[in-house]
Amino acid sequence: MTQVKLIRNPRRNLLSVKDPVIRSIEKIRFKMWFCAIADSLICSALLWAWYIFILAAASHLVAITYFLQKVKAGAAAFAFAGICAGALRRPGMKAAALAGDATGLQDRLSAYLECIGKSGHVLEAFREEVLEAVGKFNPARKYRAAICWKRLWHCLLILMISAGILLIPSPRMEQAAQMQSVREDLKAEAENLKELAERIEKTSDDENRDSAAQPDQKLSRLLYDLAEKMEKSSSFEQAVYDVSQVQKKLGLHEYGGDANGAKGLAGIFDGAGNDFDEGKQLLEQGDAEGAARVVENKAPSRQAQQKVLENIDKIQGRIKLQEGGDAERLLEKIKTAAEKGELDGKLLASFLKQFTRPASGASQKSYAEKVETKLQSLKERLLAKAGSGFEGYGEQNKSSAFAEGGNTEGMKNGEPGTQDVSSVASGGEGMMASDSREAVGGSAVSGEAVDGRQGQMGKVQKEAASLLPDAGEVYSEEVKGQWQSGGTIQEKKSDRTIEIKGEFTNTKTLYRQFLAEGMEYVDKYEFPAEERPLVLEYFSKLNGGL
Amino acid sequence: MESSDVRNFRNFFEGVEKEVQKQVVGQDEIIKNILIAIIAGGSVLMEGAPGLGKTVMVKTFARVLDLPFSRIQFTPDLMPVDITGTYIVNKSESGLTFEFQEGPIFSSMILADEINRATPKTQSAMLEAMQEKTVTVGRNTFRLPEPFFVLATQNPLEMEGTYRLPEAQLDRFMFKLKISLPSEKDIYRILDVTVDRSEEPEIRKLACREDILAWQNHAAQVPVAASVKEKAVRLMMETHPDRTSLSIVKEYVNCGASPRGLQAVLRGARVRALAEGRFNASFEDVAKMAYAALRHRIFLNFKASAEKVDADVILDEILRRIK
Repeated sequence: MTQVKLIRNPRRNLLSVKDPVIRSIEKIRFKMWFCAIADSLICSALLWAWYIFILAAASHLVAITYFLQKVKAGAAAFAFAGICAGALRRPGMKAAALAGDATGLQDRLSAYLECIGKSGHVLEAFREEVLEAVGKFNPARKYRAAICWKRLWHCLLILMISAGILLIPSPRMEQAAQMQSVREDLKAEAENLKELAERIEKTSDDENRDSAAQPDQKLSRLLYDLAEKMEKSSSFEQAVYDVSQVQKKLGLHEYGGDANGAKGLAGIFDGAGNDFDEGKQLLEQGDAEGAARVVENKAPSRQAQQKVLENIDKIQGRIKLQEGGDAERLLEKIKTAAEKGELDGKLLASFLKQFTRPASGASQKSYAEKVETKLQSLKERLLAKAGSGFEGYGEQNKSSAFAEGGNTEGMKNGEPGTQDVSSVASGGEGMMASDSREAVGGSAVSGEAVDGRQGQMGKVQKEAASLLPDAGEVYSEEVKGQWQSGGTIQEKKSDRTIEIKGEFTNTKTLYRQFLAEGMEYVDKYEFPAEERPLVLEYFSKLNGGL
Repeated sequence: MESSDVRNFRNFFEGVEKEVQKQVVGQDEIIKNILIAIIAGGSVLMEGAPGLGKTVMVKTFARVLDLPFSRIQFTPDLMPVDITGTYIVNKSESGLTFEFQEGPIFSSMILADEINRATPKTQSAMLEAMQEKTVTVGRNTFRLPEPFFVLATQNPLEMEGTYRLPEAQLDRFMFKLKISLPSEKDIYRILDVTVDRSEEPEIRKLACREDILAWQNHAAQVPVAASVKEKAVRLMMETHPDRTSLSIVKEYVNCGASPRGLQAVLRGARVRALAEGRFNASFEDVAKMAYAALRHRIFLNFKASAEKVDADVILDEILRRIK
């Protein structure tokens, strides 16, 4: 008969683990716990399989980016949850004893646990008998946990079905792949922007800790915001638009005025008489300082003052001045003086000088220039990627139109038919697509203007190209094309008349107006968001490059 | 008695069984259950046709266990005093004195033969004796000798001139055993033992009154795991039509087993475990004892009688559910 020294463990109110019966129960308990974890993991695997199934099914309905990453993350999450759930299902000694009894020990183990601490002849005999039985029977070895293998098969079946669903080709999956690629690119660009913002912050902290640091913080904040937007975006066009918006903010709000702003002011002297023609011309060239010098000694007539007042009212809606800034204050002064007939050249000159002087220190201007350069190059990169990334060249469809589910039949060079106005691509709008008309800037032969106000942009460009200051001699039938895939610019000659149906205003007049107002002219009009960057780019180039 | 003696219980039990089997052939399970009841301190109601050896069995047990034995033949004109005893007047030199004359119940082993032939009034004379182990006559209560064991028999065939035992009295019996006709082989052996042999087999005394009392004490200490008790309680509850989900119980049972029945099951399970050489009662023991301890405590309705559904069938279903 096995002799066992029974040692009481006061903390756990159990016999010491030296007791073979307790040790045996502990072993069963560990096995049960292990099985509980395995069972939970199988349950998790089943849930994970359903998750993949739902993802796979949904990927045919909506574009799901980072599918593999989502699957991996799901696996990790479900595995973690499964292990935690299993770990929490740690069986007690009583449960383990019952499981041991179920192997054929006839309730000996559970009775044994309950008899700990009790004494008597029968109990003594019972303990010895249990020790003997456990020694012969070894319940820990005989214990077999009930793991539900059926669930595992179920899981495998669902995974196989999911794999089958994923193998079915789907436009949404292709779209998701493209979006993922775009996102990767945008993320990389966003990282660069963040680095730039960090550098600006660091530099401003090191160099200038006075009040001038505040605009730098705003600058870096703008860049951070842009980076965040770009990280979330999955469209190059949207990113370009966001970059343009930041560029605009940098130009107008943070630094008071610039050459573009000065150009926008040229209209202030419209109809003010010959005395102000020189000033107006200088403003149109962006030389606000020169214009201020010229105007300083002029004394505008009453009629001229009235005209200036009218012009101020006209341009005030178009130009954006820093709120509460000197420029705004001065403009109000000019208006008041003009109303009273007391407007003089000095007041006008001091107003115009606001557009020559940088608002802050040299370092900030330097940052702004740097940022501007970076943003411009970023925009160009994004535009280039938008062209090639969405495969709008050659004989491939433009993916944005494809993603919208629009009719892609008859499309060429990303120019859809007129049925879907929201999918208007760069350049002209074609009534119908034609293989022979490759140039993006060119218009289709049968193209009809569907909107008299906008007219045919391609044709406007054609005419406008001949009016560019540095364009040289441009034949009226030569249409300036745009970048094609591979970086070449393809130009096209047209033998069609320039006259455009639905064009109410002479393009020359419009062009003059554009020259006078600068990019503000473009801002007056509303464009679909996806075409906006392209329009901005077009007018920037028309304006001599941004 | 020490732990080494406790370990010898199985040998003792088997020895008693073998001695009784010398005289009573083909009723091994009945012998085992009667011995379990004796050690558990309960009484047994035995139902069977005449001539199956009921009386011989009790007599043999009394001889083997060396316990005082009384036989009471129940008849319709039997009076309670005929069982319990009564005060008689003794005329002596000092005058007339009242002296209590003990009845046949003042014995350790009582054979109440054909108990259902007596009137309910007489039957009820057994109630106090079986439950309290005392007898009250007049103003005096007399303690019955320990151990006290009643083996009552009843004939299921003859219904004329019988009084069915009331539920309260049935509940006093720890076990109800159904004695059936032995197998052909066993009947040959019965003939061999009783007819062909001129002398009765020699029956040895294997224990005494003190041994029985000691065994009763030890049996009460046999551990029963809480899980086994839980199952036993469920077993009892499942016999009640308003506490069970079993359709067979709802359909055929009028009233289920009492807690006294549950006590009987566990007491029997403890002794059975010892008899099997174990020192803890398992659910297997409980299940085995459930039939003997609960079959007379489950009161079936008329539908059950009409469709010949007995309590054992109900218990089969319940045990299948609980296992």
